[in-house]
Amino acid sequence: MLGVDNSETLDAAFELRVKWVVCLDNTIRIVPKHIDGVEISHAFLTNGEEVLAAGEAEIVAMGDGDYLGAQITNHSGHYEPPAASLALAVALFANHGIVFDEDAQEPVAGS
Amino acid sequence: MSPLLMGDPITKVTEIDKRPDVAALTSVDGIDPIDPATRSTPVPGDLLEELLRSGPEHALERVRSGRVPAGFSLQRLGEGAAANASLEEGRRPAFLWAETAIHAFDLVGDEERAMALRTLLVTRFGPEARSLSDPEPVMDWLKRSVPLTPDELVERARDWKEKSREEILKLRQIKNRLSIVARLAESFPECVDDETRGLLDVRQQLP
Repeated sequence: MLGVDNSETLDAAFELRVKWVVCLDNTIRIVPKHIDGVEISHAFLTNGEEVLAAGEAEIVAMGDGDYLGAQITNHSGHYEPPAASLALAVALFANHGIVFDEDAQEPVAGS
Repeated sequence: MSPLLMGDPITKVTEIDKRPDVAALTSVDGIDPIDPATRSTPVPGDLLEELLRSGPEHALERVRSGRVPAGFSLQRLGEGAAANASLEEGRRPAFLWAETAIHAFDLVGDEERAMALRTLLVTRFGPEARSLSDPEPVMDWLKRSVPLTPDELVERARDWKEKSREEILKLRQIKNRLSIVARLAESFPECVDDETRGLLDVRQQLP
């Protein structure tokens, strides 16, 4: 469903809070917020290139390839994306079967 | 100061491939994904760049004094200083960057990031009372932010898939906090009391 053959890969990726970016080609990339205790910068996901949107999310694996979009924000210290960019990410995640209800969307003031 | 020095996080990046119909998604709530005006570029921030490049003493002095212009992002300074702290090999510069970051996080109320950074210092440099690598503030924070016994947490986590999104999110936030302390417990189990160890045992039952 999500373009990733191995759902265990996604389940593991969503084990804790993640950072995400929407690249210029509308691809979503995600990474755990912390790896070995070190916080990973959004810039790492993109080599510092431009993005359409960036933020953090809590996505919970519900089993059988279903995922709950528990919370999503456009928080990124590196990019400070505008709050409006969150709508694009929400739509793209929904296209992949991860739905963030309105209550789960927490836009923050960006640049 | 490449983050790759801290391991190889590139292996943990997951890319959700673009599905064919995504390309047709040219406008979402008025946002055109291919409009360059909507692109977010890395924020330059002259003062921020200056502080992060000038050395930790200068940055710490600046954040302590509060002499930052209106609109300056303390959150960004905190995140940049935390990144520097995690990459510095020397104890002193790492602690100075960490102190800068923790001070900035305190000012913006981002306690979880501050505690994650303290935990990183403990695991890298060892526990040391009354210093930035003192595990005590981390343990106190956990007890304050997760005021539950292990049994209460087990009960709260039971049948979590049937619970509301809000409750699942709260349980996930507890799991995130426990994950910070779990790293500390792995390296220095003597720093963790029985009650906290009990909470850590419940971690895998949380969403």
